[in-house]
Amino acid sequence: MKALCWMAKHEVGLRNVKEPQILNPHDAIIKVTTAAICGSDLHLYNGTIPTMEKGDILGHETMGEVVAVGKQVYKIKLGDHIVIPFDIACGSCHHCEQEEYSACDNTNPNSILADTLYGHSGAALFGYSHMYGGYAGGQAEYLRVPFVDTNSIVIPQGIPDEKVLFLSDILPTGYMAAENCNIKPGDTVAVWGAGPVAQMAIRCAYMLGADRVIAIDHFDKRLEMAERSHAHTINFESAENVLDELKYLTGGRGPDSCIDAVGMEAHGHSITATLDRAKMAVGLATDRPDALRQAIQACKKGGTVSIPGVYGGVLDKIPFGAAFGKGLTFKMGQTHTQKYMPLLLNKIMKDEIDPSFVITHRIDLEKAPQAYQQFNDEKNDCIKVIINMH
Amino acid sequence: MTFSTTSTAQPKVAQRLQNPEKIHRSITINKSPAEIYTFFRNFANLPYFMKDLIALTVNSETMSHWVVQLEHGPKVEWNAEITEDKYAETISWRTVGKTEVEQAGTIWFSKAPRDLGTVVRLHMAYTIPAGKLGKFATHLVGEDPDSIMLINLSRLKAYLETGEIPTTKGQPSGRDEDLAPEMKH
Repeated sequence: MKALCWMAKHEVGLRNVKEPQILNPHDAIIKVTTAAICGSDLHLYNGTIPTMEKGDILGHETMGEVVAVGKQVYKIKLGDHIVIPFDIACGSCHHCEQEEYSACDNTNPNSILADTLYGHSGAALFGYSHMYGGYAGGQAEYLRVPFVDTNSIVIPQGIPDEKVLFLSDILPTGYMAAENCNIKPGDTVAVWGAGPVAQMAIRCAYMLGADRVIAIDHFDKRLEMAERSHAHTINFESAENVLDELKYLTGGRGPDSCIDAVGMEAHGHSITATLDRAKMAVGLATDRPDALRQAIQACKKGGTVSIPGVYGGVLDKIPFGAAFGKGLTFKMGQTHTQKYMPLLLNKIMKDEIDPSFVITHRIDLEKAPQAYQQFNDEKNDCIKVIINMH
Repeated sequence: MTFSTTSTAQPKVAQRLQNPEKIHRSITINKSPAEIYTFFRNFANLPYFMKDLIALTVNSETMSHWVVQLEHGPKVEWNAEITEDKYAETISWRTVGKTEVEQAGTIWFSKAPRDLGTVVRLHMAYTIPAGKLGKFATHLVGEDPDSIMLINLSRLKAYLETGEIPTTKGQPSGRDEDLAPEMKH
């Protein structure tokens, strides 16, 4: 089968590989119909997530048709059309019982690596480094899905892939980011970044009762998309001072909650951002957290900073004094995707949200290696890429 | 309840080993102490989850023979005797006769707080003759005895909680060694 493989930093290859087999009794194999490239795949593309190996199959936003099931699969049937969450949960450990699926104890065969780096290992992820389990990803014609009864949602017939594919990651991620803000009537939510997760977070924040959402980015087309979702926007390149602007817009109080939907590779031209790039280049730092710094500075006293953006390592010059002084609450982490999928599918079916509005590029598999480069280098025009797999 | 990790909590036999290496690890498993004890006490179950354990023969109620093939090291064998056995509480064992890896160990099963299941504690003491030490790839992450036992506890937990041990062995990749023959360059 054809699969997109990580070959080296800035090199994604389309290779002919073996088809996946059932390896464990709770596995299923799907024939992938549609997959997407995620903003977090660009962290892999740029080589900022450790423990990637040449030949790893990429992809964690995937859906398809079930073509084989293991001996102990009870819920999912051959022929079911399913969307797969990006994180792999066992469904039976204590964390899974609490619906904390991304904290699953059992699915990462390389948990000792994550134990060493992070203290504890969370759930494994599809196509996202060996520290996160080393599972082959879903930007391939077929995918093995472990614990498929837990890691899937069945899509009713007749729904186009585009409308439901983002249940795999960015829609639940945007929703959990907004839910983590504990939004109350009258609240203002500021969102750093206007990429796909931010676009979902903006709509979900309104859905959860925000009075106003402010999006901060420097790509005009992304900000225009945010405006179409009724966000107020700030272009951080043309604004004189983002923090002053946010204070002005909120009567001096600051946003009630701040969402960092950028993560470890923030752009920006502040002194700290320039230092970050220099330190990352020589290996002195692993992440560029400039969006997070600004979110902490901007947030109102007693407010919440919600972080769906991905961080991988050790962050430098985080204004922890500001966070402490203002008594901020931090909420973050990989999304408990399985918890949110049924709720959000229901909202899609009732036309309360159609997440396909973020799609700017629809391509065939052969064009996907170039699409990685385009998504990375042309962030203004290229917001979300989906790949037709069959 | 206090957990002692000093040498006084070591199995008595371990004190007879000269300068043994020691392992203290614990894990919480979402099953009852009786369920975990019953599974573990049937040594025929151990190869289902123990890394590198390629053969285990139960010879009597208390005696068993173990064969371990280390992933990047030698094959080692030993005879083990159960020295203490309390239902749903604890099992102790030690090696008997000549072996390259002399060892003794105890595993305890105690109820965890709230509905968290069972805390499983493992203490082991072992000696490897100086000349043999070099044969063990103890410098590789995850290949020293302490890491192997930590991995074994994780695999025991996964097997008991889910009925399988998570794996990626046998999955496709774009690496040359994983490609089907006709696909190789």
